[in-house]
Amino acid sequence: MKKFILMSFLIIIGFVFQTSFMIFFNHFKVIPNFSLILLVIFAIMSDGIQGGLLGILTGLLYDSMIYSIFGLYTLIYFLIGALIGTYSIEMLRENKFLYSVAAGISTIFMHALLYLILFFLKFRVGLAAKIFPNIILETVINAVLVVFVAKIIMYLFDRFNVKV
Amino acid sequence: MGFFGNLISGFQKIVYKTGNTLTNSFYSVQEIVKMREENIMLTENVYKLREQVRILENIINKSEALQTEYEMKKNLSYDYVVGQVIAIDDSNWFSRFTIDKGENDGIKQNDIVIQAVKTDEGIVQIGLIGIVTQTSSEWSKVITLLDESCKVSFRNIENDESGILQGSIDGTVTGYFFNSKVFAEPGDSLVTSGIGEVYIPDIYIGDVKDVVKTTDASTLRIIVEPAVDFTKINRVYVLKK
Repeated sequence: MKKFILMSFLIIIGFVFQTSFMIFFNHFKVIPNFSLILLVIFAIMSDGIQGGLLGILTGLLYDSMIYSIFGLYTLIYFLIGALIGTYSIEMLRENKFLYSVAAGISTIFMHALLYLILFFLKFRVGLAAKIFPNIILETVINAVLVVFVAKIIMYLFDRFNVKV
Repeated sequence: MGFFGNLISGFQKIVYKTGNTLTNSFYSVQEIVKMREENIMLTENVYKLREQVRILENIINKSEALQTEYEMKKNLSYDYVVGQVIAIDDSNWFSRFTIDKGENDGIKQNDIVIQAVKTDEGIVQIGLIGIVTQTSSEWSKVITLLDESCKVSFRNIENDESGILQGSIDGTVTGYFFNSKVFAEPGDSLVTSGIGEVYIPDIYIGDVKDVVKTTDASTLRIIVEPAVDFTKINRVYVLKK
């Protein structure tokens, strides 16, 4: 329970950091998605249920605070959290490469789902080709940064005596 | 005596020269140490002065922005609330943000969000940012002109013709004229037309950047350069309708 509370708290901190601080680096057009990075790390550290719940929390924060299409990000983050949580194996949790691959795939999965949902919401998704390079760059950045963030999270968990 | 004197004087000469060289060397070393200290001091001064210049430039930039806002406020005939942006959408798909003012400050859904804009001619105008889509007691969500779901009816002030503008996923604002025979030129200024009664009329949207013929060649698609720089949105004005 202590682990889940700590993870939830860090998800909220991550959301605030992402939406209110990272935007100052928006001049580069591409910024890493720390909310997704945290979700991937926590989902790998837990099971499908906890991963799904953390995904719902992340998505709810985005849907309620920024977007007007309620449920869009809740669904996407829930799926990412639940899927990673379900298929994460305890033995591999120390493998940093796993975090990298999971973060990369999750980024692409998130944008693919967004494309699909927005297509059914009648958005002109044909123009998405122009943002494709940004998505690729974001995928690479997330895949690299997740390793460093995972190290910080491990350190924090160690400090708070929480079993990974 | 002459020989001895010459020898002594030669020796004195050598000693003097040696002494002189040594003294000069000593002074040179002293000078180097002194110069190094001076160099450090001057470098520090340069840094301090650069910092002062930066602070002064910041003040000048701020005062220009405040002057622009003041000019806009003088011409503003609507009741307004000043809001601070507290969160911005970071995805590539949308263009939305949240401000720190909500229902408690009198903000309602569909209120217009604007910013003071200084044109190339130095005229201060009201620049359209977007519209309030959802409100809470303490904060409100805003969608900007760049967002796909934001549609604005516009009027070209050069020929008085109207049309519809829409944002897009890639962040460009494009539009069509209602009258397919109308022609527009790059540089034409666009303002809100007020049709549909969502947007207040005559709010400056931006200028026509490019005019493109559509595939069926029956209508013109205009690409618009918004007046507001959306990467620098910090303080916004919400017009209460």
